[in-house]
Amino acid sequence: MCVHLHVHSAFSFLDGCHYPEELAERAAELGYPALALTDHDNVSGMIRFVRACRSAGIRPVIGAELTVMGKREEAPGQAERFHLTLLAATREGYANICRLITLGYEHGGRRTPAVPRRLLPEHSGGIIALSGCRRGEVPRRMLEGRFEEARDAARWHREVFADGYFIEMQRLHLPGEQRLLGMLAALGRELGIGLAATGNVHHLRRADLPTHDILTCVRTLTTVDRPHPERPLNAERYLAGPEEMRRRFAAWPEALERTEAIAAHCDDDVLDLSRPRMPRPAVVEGDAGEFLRRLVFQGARRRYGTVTEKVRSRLEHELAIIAALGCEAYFLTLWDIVREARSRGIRTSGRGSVVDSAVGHCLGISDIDPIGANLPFERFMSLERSQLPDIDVDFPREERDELVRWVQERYGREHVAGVCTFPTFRARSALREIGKAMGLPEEEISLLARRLRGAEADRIEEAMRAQPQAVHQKTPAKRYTHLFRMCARVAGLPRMISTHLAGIVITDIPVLSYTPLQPTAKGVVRVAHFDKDDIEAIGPKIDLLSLPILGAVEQARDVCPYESIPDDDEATFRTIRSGQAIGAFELQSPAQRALHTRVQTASKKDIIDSIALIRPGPGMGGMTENYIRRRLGLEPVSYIHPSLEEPLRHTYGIIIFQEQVIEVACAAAKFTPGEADILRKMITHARSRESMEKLRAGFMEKALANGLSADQAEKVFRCIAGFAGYGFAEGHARAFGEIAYRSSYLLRHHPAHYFAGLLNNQPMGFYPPNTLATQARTRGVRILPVDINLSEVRTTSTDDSIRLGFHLVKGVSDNLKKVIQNCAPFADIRDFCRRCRPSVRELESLILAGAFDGLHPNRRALLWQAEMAARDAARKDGSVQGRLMDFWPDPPDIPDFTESQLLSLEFGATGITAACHLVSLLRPRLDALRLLTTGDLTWMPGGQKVRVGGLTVGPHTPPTRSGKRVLFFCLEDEFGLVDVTCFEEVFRASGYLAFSEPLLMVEGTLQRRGLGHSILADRVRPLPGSLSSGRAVKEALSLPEPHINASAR
Amino acid sequence: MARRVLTEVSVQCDPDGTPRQFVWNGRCYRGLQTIETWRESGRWWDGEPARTVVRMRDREGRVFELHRLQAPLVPMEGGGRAQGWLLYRVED
Repeated sequence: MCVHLHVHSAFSFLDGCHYPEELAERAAELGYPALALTDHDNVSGMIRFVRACRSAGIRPVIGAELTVMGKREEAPGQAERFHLTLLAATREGYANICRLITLGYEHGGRRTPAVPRRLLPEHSGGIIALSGCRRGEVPRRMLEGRFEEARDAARWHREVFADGYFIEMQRLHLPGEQRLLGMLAALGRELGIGLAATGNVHHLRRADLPTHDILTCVRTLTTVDRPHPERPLNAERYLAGPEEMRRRFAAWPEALERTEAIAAHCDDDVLDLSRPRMPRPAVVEGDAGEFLRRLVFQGARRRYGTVTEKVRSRLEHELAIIAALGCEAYFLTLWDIVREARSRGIRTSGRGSVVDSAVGHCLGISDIDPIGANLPFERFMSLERSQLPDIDVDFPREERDELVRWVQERYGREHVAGVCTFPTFRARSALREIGKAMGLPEEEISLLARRLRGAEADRIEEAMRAQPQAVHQKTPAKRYTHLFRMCARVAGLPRMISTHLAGIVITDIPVLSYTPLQPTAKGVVRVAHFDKDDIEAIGPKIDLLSLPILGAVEQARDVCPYESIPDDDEATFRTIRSGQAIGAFELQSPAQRALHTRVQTASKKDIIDSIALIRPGPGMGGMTENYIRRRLGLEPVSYIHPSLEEPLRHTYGIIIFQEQVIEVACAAAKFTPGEADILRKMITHARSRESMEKLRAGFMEKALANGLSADQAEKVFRCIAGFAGYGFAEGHARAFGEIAYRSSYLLRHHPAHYFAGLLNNQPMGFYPPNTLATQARTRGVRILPVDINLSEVRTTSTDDSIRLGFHLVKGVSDNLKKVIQNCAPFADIRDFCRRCRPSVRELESLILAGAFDGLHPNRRALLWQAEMAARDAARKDGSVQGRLMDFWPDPPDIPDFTESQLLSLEFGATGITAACHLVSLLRPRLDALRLLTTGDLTWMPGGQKVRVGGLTVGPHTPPTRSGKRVLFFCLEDEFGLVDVTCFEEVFRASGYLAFSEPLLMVEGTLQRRGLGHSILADRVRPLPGSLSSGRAVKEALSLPEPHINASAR
Repeated sequence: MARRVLTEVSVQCDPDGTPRQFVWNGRCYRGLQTIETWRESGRWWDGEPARTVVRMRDREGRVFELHRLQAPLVPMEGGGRAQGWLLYRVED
């Protein structure tokens, strides 16, 4: 028997074709006793691989194929790179492999890791090394005819790895292979190094070759019609069975036998998954459990004043579960982090299921009182589930990274790692990349991608049947067949390691014992090779999230501190139920605004419910309608059984929160809260009818025993089962609801400061900056343009105005923005250029943004002067992009841009028009076309046919229950916004223009629901003419050549 | 000089499948010695079948590249099975 010791999974990104689970299953099917996994410079698949092997009854062998820099490193960029196959024989070996991979990223770069060969000896303990594929140093030298160097390399590796080094033999039916294998065998005999036969596996079966080839073409940016040395020549790199391997290595049976011995030599628990590692809290006085208890009760006295019996017993209950699951250190660490944030004045807000924890509330992690809100702790943690907790805390975007840096200093860089994610092929990325690899022309790919928007990658072929016009007649049909099949095949395969936005893990032992660490683009924290699902095998994850709204609300802190906002402000609720709370956190999307106009929002509770009701996904529609009817008294509130009244009264008899599933299961069937939460999770993840039937049977038995009739029990289960997949955590809804209410309060009472805060924290929210500025303007706020002498880097505000900041001007470096703020005021543009030394591009951007209007009213003349100064600078120092020197010509006598050109250019430079809305310039033309304004629509009765024109904002096609596409977007003019809906037919006929045309005219029917209104579109057209077409702007920007001598210095 | 030929030829093989001699343009080429052999997947996207490639030298030192066409790796629409030997290239 033999064992495959060189195997790539899909975590050899764009090279391996299958997940570790598939490889393990296939190896077991073929009768192998063990299997190795050796992905390229990473171990991301390792946890899944180990679990899959154990489940399949085969032994896992863990390793990696390492990229090594050759001996000569004088020019690192040109250093030769070789492959080396490493297997972990012991835990020390695994830790060394992790260290070597980490060093590879440090020395070779984030995208091209390669460890200097000289570093191998220091980290060779516990490792078995194989000389590698054709890209290994020894075989490569042999293929090059450099036999002495091959021999030296083999000797060197044998010194480093001693008896753990073997010559790797691969029989893949490639040109020159027979000769190579002969030479390798001879070398092994000469030097006394054993041979090991491998398969260099990249896919499961020969038939998977096209997938491997396509992935290689995507990776190497080539097409199927072009040769490339990395493309597979044949299909032999598959997981061959034992018979085939014997045939391949008939001449070297010892090489095959050795593989089983090597596998047996490797410990099968080199990756210690026995228990997750907890952080070591930086602050503990005495016993961790007792210290936690003291802190919790101190916090309880602060939060509740008097610690009543209800509070005490709840806290004791939670502390007992936390202790039983060994998580005290985790909570103490979170307390430490939140305490540090608050001491720095950084706003924090716990979100997600931690809001259900009174311990979390008393430690200051969450600001919502779960006891008062009746939230069960078991939604967060329970003995029955016995899973690690997962705490999420929000911070303002700008401060989040600062805090993560502090965490690394506090707990030690070697003990902290970021969590990774694996971006996968989705429909559009698959179409584009595989389309390119198949050699389809770019315009065909773009057309396909546009027409198939919203289709899943594995359903593209199906979606195509509904869009036959998307197929270009010229490309052969079989290429399309391959394209769609490949899209389905690669759907969901990981493409690279990326950084999880928020997740970090802190462990007591160095993280490198478990995972390599990779630098990230942002460079804040190195990222582990495991994602949020696998990282928990190592330690509990902490999510330190950026929530830009927390930064935005700080803009108003001098006039209205966040904590001082009153709880029940009627004016705020009036704004929300008018459907016009554009800019309010969580409440501003068209769906949210429509809901609030219908339910006549009058309390925080209505806000909290709305956050749970308006969710992505097709499943919510029916439930939301039921809720609204009952809320408005159009339908009686009823309960399937009287026991359900208590948990469901506050949501009119309808389950909308996950916690209610727990409460209903407890009330109806006497589950314990922990059991009920497990039921909830299992229903959510149930994949088959059989597993659902098992859950149903269990529930029915307990419900009947509790006195429900069969009919009642059945209905309750159906209710839970129907809901479980779409439920929202009430704790999370409450946390977000609090922020939503307070942001709405600031929007209503301090709009200048609030909208300035939003502009300073982009990107965020649903609407672009110009829409936010328009909303501010409709609330009486003056929008003041970027000004070289009056603006700061950030947008600033007074009680009734917003001064746009330099951060909005595109093409201006962060450094220049700070310099301008520090050096202002300026006498004129020459003074500015002398003191700030902008580049030509930066100066032009500032001119176009109107930054110099206060000093020089003619922007076109300024651009001409800048152009002339740039030419002079280029003549002098040869640099086209050079900084402007001292030369500045006199202004020419040329007319400035027209008003509409000025606005268009300003919009292009900043994304906002300060003076007025773009559409206001078109108003005479729109009036001539008899188009209504959005303001007109507010008083018109529903059912009328209307025609409106405006800017297109936020087009999107969320999934629907019917599977048909519905397009939603907004039309914006100087008076506000109106929501537009296009059903499938209208979308296909003309609605798709919303994705490409900035200005549209919509004809349709005005609809009224509650206090809100929207348009159900019959037809969508581009607005005739334009503000300033691209060509007109370009013509306006062409500047006259100098015909007089400009003045010198 | 090497030139591409791309023509089907009749090949007589040893029991292990190694070509022994073949006929091309009415002439029999004998005494073939295998230089090397490998496998190729073919232009699978255009429906080409996989093949085994054998480079052989005859007694007069001419080098021939023979392709043994196999069944395609992936069943293609409309069939496309191709068997037999193809003389792909000659170096003389």
